[in-house]
Amino acid sequence: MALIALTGPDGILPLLFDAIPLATIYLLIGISWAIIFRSTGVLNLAIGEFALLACYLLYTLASSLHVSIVIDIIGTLVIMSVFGGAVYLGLFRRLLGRPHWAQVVLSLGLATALDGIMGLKWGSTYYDLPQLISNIQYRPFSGADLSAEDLLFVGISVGYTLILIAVIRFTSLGVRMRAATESPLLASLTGVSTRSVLGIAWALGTVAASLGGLAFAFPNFVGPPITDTIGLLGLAPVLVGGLDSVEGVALGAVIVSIVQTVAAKYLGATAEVPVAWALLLVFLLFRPQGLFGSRAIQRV
Amino acid sequence: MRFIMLFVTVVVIVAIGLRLEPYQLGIANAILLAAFGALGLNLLMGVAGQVSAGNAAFLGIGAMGAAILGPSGSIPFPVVIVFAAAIGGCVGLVVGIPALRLSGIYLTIGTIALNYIVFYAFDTYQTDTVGGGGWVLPTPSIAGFQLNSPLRWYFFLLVILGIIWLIFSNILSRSPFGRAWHTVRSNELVAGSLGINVARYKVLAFVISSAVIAMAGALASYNGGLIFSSNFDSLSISIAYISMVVIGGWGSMWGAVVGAAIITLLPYLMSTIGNALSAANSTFISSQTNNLEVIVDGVIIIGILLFQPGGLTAVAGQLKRYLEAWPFREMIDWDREQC
Repeated sequence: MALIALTGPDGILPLLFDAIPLATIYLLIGISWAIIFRSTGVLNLAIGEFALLACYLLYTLASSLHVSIVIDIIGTLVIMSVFGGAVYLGLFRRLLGRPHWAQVVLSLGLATALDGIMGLKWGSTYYDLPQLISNIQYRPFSGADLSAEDLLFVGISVGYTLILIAVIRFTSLGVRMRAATESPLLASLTGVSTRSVLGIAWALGTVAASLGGLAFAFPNFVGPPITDTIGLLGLAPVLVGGLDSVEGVALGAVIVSIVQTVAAKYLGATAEVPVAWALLLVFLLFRPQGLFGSRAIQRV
Repeated sequence: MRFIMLFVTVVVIVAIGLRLEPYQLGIANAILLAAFGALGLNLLMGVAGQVSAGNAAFLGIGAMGAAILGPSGSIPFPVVIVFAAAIGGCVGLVVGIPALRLSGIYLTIGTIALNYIVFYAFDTYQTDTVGGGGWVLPTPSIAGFQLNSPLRWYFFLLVILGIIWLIFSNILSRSPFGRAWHTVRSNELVAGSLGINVARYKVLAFVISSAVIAMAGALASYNGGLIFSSNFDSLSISIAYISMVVIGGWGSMWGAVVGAAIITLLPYLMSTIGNALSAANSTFISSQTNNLEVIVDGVIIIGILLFQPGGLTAVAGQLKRYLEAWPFREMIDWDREQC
């Protein structure tokens, strides 16, 4: 008998397959943390609330408007992107030049206020979103199950990531965005509107967070746990990959989701969340810049 | 003059304690307990200039310390409290060393992670030992003085708070530590070039603040008499403490205590407002207290950061200058002492 089986109920490959939906969610949420941190230097602790808000919004749209779910999703993303840009321009931008803790605390305040407002509006009930596409299960080999919905979100998250990377690398918007991040003063002197460019970065980040929330909500449910276990926990893949690296997040998402899936299997489902946080602390201890992050992190 | 002020303050506080109903004393004790946590956090945030979201974790660690040694009643109450504080300090050291060596937002991230790990550890420990019923603590007594009424708790907590206050204010104002901390706070680069080990002083501040917060967690458990791990498993507890410090004014000890009072009184204040309104509003407010509380918390944080970053301390300073200069408005130098 082989010590470690590849397939079958206790094999490695099914375990890796189990991690795919989680990795998808983390990729999207992680991108959101990374792009907002990288462009504006804000550690936005309200990302989880953004994700949950998008899910509630979609639920409300889907149950009140009787149009195709795709239109609802597009509407949600448009609203969320405007919301994200407005939050940056209306709140965070006003703290420019203050110590960085001010922005962290502001995001905590925003997260708290949003938690309360969403609690008032939607309560603590769990809602189900309508089915996105027909429920086909794929079973590439025994013990591994993937639904069509999972695969769709894999496509969406990888696609969105590639688009973002391409936009940042190759378009003039991306060049302006990088310039505004690198040196806001010089960029504005050369005619870049840092306000709008950084606002767009926040909008893109918010869309990523919303998609991440939806990637969780469609197969599971819409409810308050999304803020913590999906949103805030997205810090783990980001820190593993490198806080300011969009590419590193992809690797971080894969690593964290596999570690969590393995932990859930061998240590019990309650260990799933703390294991990811513990992994984050280990990285903080030994490799704070993450696997791909820039080494510019200042030690005191 | 200082001593007269101190004397008057003490007399007023004692008089207040004797006048209050037991139920009001319970609220007063909650404020005092919150003040420990706020003072501890304030020490760290004031010195290190970094945000810790770990208050819930350290309160939980303190309660866990009380749960480990306390329920049997064979170990004296002061020993349990010191033990809880010591565990808090040790955990603070472990998390503080990696997180505080790095500048920026890493302490916040590390302490958020710590919250979830402590929730899990505490929860698992409760499930493995006592289960859902939680731990029951005996009535504590210290040197023969039984802490069996809210009034006794009130005076006991006041004495402890006074001691902590004296230690903090003396360390901060007239010890080598205090001078080093002040230098670190005003300029890390200068502090480093003067031979101060910046990281070590930051970690020291974190360890002290963690120990004080853990002590507060243990005291709160004894005050309540019961320990449930679920009482500590919410990040919003940490955020409430951050808002106490932000409301009071970054780095001000008075501010931290006033902030603790405001945040603790918030739910009671809201139910009072609700009762003054119509019956429909009143039921709405009482059924949604939790949500309304966090909304007010968040809005206060956002408002203060945007419009009055110095918090209440800055407001008090401005008021003082206004009164000093009155009636000559143009003599007021508003920007002095701005945060």
